[in-house]
Formats: sequence, C-alpha cells, structure tokens
Amino acid sequence: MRIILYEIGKLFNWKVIGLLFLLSFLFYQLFLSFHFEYFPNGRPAGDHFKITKQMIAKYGPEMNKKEYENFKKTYEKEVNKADKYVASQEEFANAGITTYEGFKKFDRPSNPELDNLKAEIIFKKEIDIFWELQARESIMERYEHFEERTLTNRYIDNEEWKKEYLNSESRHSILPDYVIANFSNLISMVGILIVLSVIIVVSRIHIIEYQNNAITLQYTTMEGRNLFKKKLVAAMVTATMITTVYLGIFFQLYAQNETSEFFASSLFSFEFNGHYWLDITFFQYIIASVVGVYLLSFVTAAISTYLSRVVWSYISLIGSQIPIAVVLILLIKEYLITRMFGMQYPVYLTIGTYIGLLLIGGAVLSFRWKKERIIDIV
Amino acid sequence: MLVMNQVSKKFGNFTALKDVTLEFDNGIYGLLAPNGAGKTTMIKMLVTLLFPTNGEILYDGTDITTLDEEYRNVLGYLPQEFGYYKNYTPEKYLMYLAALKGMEKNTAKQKITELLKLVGLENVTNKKLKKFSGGMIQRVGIAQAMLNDPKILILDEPTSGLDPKERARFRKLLNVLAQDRIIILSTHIVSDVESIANQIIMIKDKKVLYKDSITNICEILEGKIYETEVEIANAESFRAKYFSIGERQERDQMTFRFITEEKAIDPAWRNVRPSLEDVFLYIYQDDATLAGSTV
Ligand SMILES: Nc1ncnc2c1ncn2[C@@H]1O[C@H](COP(=O)(O)OP(=O)(O)OP(=O)(O)O)[C@@H](O)[C@H]1O
Ligand SMILES: [Mg+2]
Repeated sequence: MRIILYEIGKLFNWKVIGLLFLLSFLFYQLFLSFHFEYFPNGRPAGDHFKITKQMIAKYGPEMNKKEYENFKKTYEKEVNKADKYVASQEEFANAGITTYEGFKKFDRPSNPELDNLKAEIIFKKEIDIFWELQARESIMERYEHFEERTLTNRYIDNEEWKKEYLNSESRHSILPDYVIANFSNLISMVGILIVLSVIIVVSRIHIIEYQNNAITLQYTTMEGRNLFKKKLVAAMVTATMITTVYLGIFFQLYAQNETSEFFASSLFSFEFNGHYWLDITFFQYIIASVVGVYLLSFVTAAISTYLSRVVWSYISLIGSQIPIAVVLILLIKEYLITRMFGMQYPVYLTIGTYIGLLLIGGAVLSFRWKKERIIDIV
Repeated sequence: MLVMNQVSKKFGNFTALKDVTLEFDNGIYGLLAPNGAGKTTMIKMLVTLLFPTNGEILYDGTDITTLDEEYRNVLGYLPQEFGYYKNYTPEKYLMYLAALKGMEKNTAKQKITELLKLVGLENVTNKKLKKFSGGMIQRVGIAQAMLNDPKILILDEPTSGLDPKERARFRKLLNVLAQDRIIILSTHIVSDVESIANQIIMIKDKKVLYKDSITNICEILEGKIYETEVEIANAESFRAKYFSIGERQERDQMTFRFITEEKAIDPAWRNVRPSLEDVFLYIYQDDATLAGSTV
C-alpha cells in the first residue's frame, strides 16, 4: 500500500497538475461551456423544454393515447387564448385576421407593415403563448407520426424487431432529442478530456524510472520486479481518481441544465428522429456513459502503462501516444460515447469495441509482465 | 555462502564472461579489472538484474532465482550509476526504498536516522537531492544499500567520482560495515581495495584470472620488480627495453620502476617488493583499455 502511494505521488508534480488545469480550462472554454450556457438553445426549444417537463409532471414519463387526448385539449385551450390575443390586436382585426390560425398562416408579401408587427409580437415582445403553441405543435406532430418515421427508418430492417419496437410502451416516452444530444455532446467531450488527462499523468509511470536510472535499484529490492504490478495498481487508482474528480465536477456543472425530470424517460421516445437500440431510461443512459468513460480511462491507463515501460524517451512516448489518442478520440466521438447504442451502428459494435479495447489493454500488460520477470536489466 | 558455478554471460553473440566459478564467504572482496572487463556484468548477475546464460548462482545452496525475494531481502546494492529523484530529500528517498525493501515504517525511520549519521549526512536530511554534490549522493547510495542490513553488500565502482578525501572516508566506512557479511566491491582503482579487501578477484579475457589475498597475488612478481636511476638522455632506450610501470624525474635523472624477468641483473638495480598496482599493470599490460593511462 505504501509503495502504491509513493508511485501515485511520483505521477503528480506541479508541472503535470498545471498542464491538467490548462487542458481542462481549454476544454471548458472550447467544447463545454456552450452546452451549459445555451441549453436549451433559445426559443421555441426553451418552451418545448418547459412543456415536456409539465407533461411529465402530469402524465409521468410516458404519454399514452388517452393522455394525448388530454394534451390536445390543453392545446386547444391555449389556442383559444391566442385567438383572443390576436382579436385584440387592432391592426390584425382591421386586416380581417382574428384567429391564431390566421395569424400563423399570414405571410409577408401581402402586407409588410403587418408582417413587421407579427415579427414584433413574436420576437420583440416574445409573447409566450405563440412560442409555446409552436412547441406544442411540434410535439403533436412527432407524436402522431412516430410510427411512419419508424417504418421508413433505414437503420431498422428487421421486421420483427420493428414491430417490437413500435409496440413497446416506451415509444410513448417523453424525452426531447436535444436533451440526449446535449448530454451526449458534453459527456463525450468530458470523456476525451479524461482520456487525455490519464495519458498525460499515467504515461510517466515507468519512464520516470528509466530516465532517472532507478530501475536497477528498484528491481534489486525485496519488492523487485513485482513493482511492475504495484505500478499497474497505482496507474489504475490514478485513472480512477482522475475520472472521478472530472466526472464529479462535470455533474455539478451539468446539474444546472436541470434535466432530472427526464431521468425516468426511455430512449425509445417518440421525440427522436435518431433511434436507439436499447429500451433504457435517460438515467440508465447516463450511467452507461459513465461506465463507458471509466472503461476508456482504464484502457488508456493500461496502454499508457505498457508504453511507458517499452519506450526509451519522452519523445517516442509522445510519438506513440498521439496515434492512440487520435483513435480513441475518434471512437469516442463516433460510437463509444457519442451515439452510444445509437442505431447508426450495430449495438454489438459498441459492446465489441469496448471488450476489444479491454482485451488489448489486458493483453499488452500480461505480455509485458511475463517478459518483465525474465528480462535482463542492462 | 554465495557461489557462482560455471557462470557465463552472453549478450547476443558477444561473450562478456565465461565459466566464472567463485565462492564468497564473509569478508571484503575487491573485484579489480580495467574498464570493460565485465565487472558490472558479473555484479548484475549477482544482484539478479541479469540472468546467466549458463551456470548457476547459489546462495546457501539454493539458486538465487528460486530464492527470489528471500535472496533480495538480504541484498544491498549500489549500482555503478544509481538513480534518484532530484526533488526528493534523502529522507524521503530512503523511506521510499525502505518501503520497496519491505521495511516497517518506524523501523525504517530509525534506521535512516542511524545511517544518515553514519555517512555524515545528518545535517542535510531535508535538503533536496539535486543540491547534493557527487560525494554526498554516493553516500546516500551507500546508506540505501545498507538500509536492510544486508548479508550481501555489492558495490559497483562506489568511489568513482569521489575526491581522494571522500575515498579515504569511504574506505573507513567500509571497514565499519565489514562485519558478518559478504562485501563485493568493484573498481579499476587499485588503491580503493589495496588496504581493505581480504581477497582480490581479477578478470581477464572474460575469465577469472586470480582470486586470492593481496599478499599471494603480489608473489607473482616477487623478484621481478626493480627500481633504478637512468640518465634522462638514456630514458628513451630504457623504456624500449624494459616494461616500466612507474617513473619519476629528479633533476637530470629518472627513477624507473620496472618489471624484468632477466636473471643477470645490473648491480645498480634495487629489488623492491611488488605492490598490487604492479601486478595490475603487469597483468593488463597488453590490454587496450589501459593504453594512454599514466601511473
Ligand atoms: N547489454 C549489453 N549488450 C552488449 N554488450 C554489453 C552489454 N553490457 C555490457 N556489454 C559488454 O560487456 C563487456 C563488459 O561490460 P561491463 O559493463 O561488465 O564492464 P565493466 O568491467 O563494468 O566496465 P566499467 O569499468 O567501464 O564499468 C563490455 O565489452 C561491454 O561492452
Ligand atoms: Mg562497470
């Protein structure tokens, strides 16, 4: 235990910690802050967000056919309110426009003055009801057509599965697509940040000994070559620490997006155009992403530990880590974290890639350990 | 007892050591050979860093690879170039190595205080190692080798980089440590081992040439070492004729110390007692690595 603490201690110095801060700051500024500050992004997304939350409060995570009738009634009531508002606007009344329907359909060229007025009502005064109605209409549009959208989806070619998918109760789940997209964007950038940080910290684990010429001394102590295993534990503990700290901070920040109402909603939501393989809730999806990030962090730590032992200089270490980092980043952005379980890729590809990466990490380490025990330390 | 039995070491096609058979009992052994002779190779096999290509190394009858950590537990080693972390203090550094040596924290603390005092570093325990001189670092190295009170202490050129004063100090220290253990110390500097080693091991042509006490080794040259004065003008021809191992200039004369096997000797020659240095120079006279060295 003491040895492991010493090994962890050696990984962190002020230069490394400074580099982590710098990298995190850059990532926050470039890739993360936007998704916190502009979520949901403007109108009517904000109205949509508010309304779906109200729906969940009223109907639960799913909206069945009966509840949908209720939703339509609410919509009509809101339309009535909008009618009254339109009728109360003299300029529109004079032009013969007295209903929301007319207001909505009214288009520019015929009367530019009135057109300006419409824009003013919507964009300047930001009369809520017009935005909200727009959001409600899009919800209704999606709810009514999700079956057709499913049937024409090019990713689903298994008829049986298609039926199962359509008949699933979860197809009525209320979960706006931008909620998932927002989280997915954030967590994949955080995942990349974690992978890079683990590379920066853990990659030094053996090469510091080589560079300081300490291996001859270490390997002749009682601990001896077993130090390789202790260092591996130190690497994994470090990776866990880095991942936990980053994720902890991330979820603190993510809390401000206030999406917890959707935690119980399924990924099969009628709101989606993109589809997911698994009927899991948003919360389970978050957990799956977190597990994915931890696994990637361990794989990165394993590969970094291995490379750190087999390269001879910092330059070749960086040289060999760059392609690995690039591949991991691409995989994360493609399907390991972003679009995790998305129908664009076979679900077995995601799971298979994770297993494959873990196997590679385990294989290089066990290969090296076998060699480490019998190698001449020259 | 530590035994090397028919040990050979090859690096690829290159043979560094061949058929080395040696026995070590308690006492100080000086491994004396010029650069590149294979001292480090031999030592690295004794400390389990290199594995013999052929042969075996036994400690109390068991192969040291089988003994594994049991063997390393009684081992103290100072590598030829030893590594340290420049931002560590000697105390932290020694605590780390004590942990690797499986020592209890409190035992280690006590031992470290004791050892730092022994090597005269008790006043700089909290200074960073990067501020240490070469001699101080070397003393830290000796302290770390002694941490676990080893039964076998192996030092690879421990005096390289030390000034004469530090060397003398080091020899004194070794005498203190010499009880009840095997100490093997490699060097190519004769004076390092001359006064302290019980036995000298010399390696030549990848093999052990001698393993004997200094007195016995010096007997090889008994009656063959002479000193004489030669006119400076004749120095050149004298050098060509005899194997000079030392010369000193005094006014217009040179005093030569030289080796000869001639029976008919000049009455002006004074027979002197051979020293270890004489033997060293004699043995390695045709060794390329010695060319250009001054005596
Ligand atoms: N890893 C290696 N690969 C190939 N040859 C090696 C290796 N290590 C040592 N040698 C060769 O083995 C021979 C003995 O080297 P070694 O380091 O044991 O000598 P040494 O007596 O310790 O010399 P020095 O006094 O310079 O330390 C040298 O010729 C060296 O070049
Ligand atoms: Mg050497």
